[in-house]
Amino acid sequence: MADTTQSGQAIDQKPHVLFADDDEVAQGLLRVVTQRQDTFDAQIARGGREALEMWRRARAEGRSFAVIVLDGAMPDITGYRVAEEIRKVDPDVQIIFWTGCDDPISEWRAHGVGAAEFLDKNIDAAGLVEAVTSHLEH
Amino acid sequence: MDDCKELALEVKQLSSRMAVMETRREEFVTHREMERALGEITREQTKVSSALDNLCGNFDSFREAHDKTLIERAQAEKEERFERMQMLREQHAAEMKEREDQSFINTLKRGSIYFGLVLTLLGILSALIGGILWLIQHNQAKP
Repeated sequence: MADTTQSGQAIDQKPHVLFADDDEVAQGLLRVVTQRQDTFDAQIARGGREALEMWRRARAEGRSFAVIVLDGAMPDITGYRVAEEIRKVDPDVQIIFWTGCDDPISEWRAHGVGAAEFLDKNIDAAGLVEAVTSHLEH
Repeated sequence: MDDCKELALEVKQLSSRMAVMETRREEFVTHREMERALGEITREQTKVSSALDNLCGNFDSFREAHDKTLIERAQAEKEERFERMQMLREQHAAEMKEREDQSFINTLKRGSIYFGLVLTLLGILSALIGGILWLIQHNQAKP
């Protein structure tokens, strides 16, 4: 997948995907699942604030995330608030919520920020990767 | 006859003026009605705008309340996970200690068995040597 320049420096052409979850178990699962695939380059944030920082840093460096997967409930800042902040600047990014709180209000807020998917955390890891991959094509 | 004509003309003119007046009155009424309607619309607009402001305020506070609930929930879950991990760590440490103790006991047991075996072997060996010496002595003592 990686291309090379004339100077031999590698350019990674894979789309970038940002995952944000405060649960260490979920982070581990995401790490395992994303290492098994070669479709996208995954970065994992340990919370809402870290996700925002990573997203801002990527923008400052001229990179962008094609898909952002957010946990709805995080102890520092909620995924919905993160999505609202991102949406103010980037209306095109695909946002997927991967959350354990599947209440109607959460779903309504996800819809409000234009989320592409609202997935239950009980979905298997392969299902999550499949969902992310399908939204990379949009 | 001329008076009649003049009168007719005057009536005609008056009728025409009356018609103009009527049109103006209608226009005036329409204008008044429009003004009134405009006033009503403005008042309704103010009401709607105020309701919208309230709704936005409510929506913001509703969103904040939802965020607060989710954050509290996530914090509680994090604490629960931390406690569970702590418990697992303690359980693991206790198991390791128990295993170490058990291993020490097993070593002791094994050591005592070996020691017993060695003693038994030594005993048997001493008995054999004693027996042999006794036989030698017994044979030498014979004439």
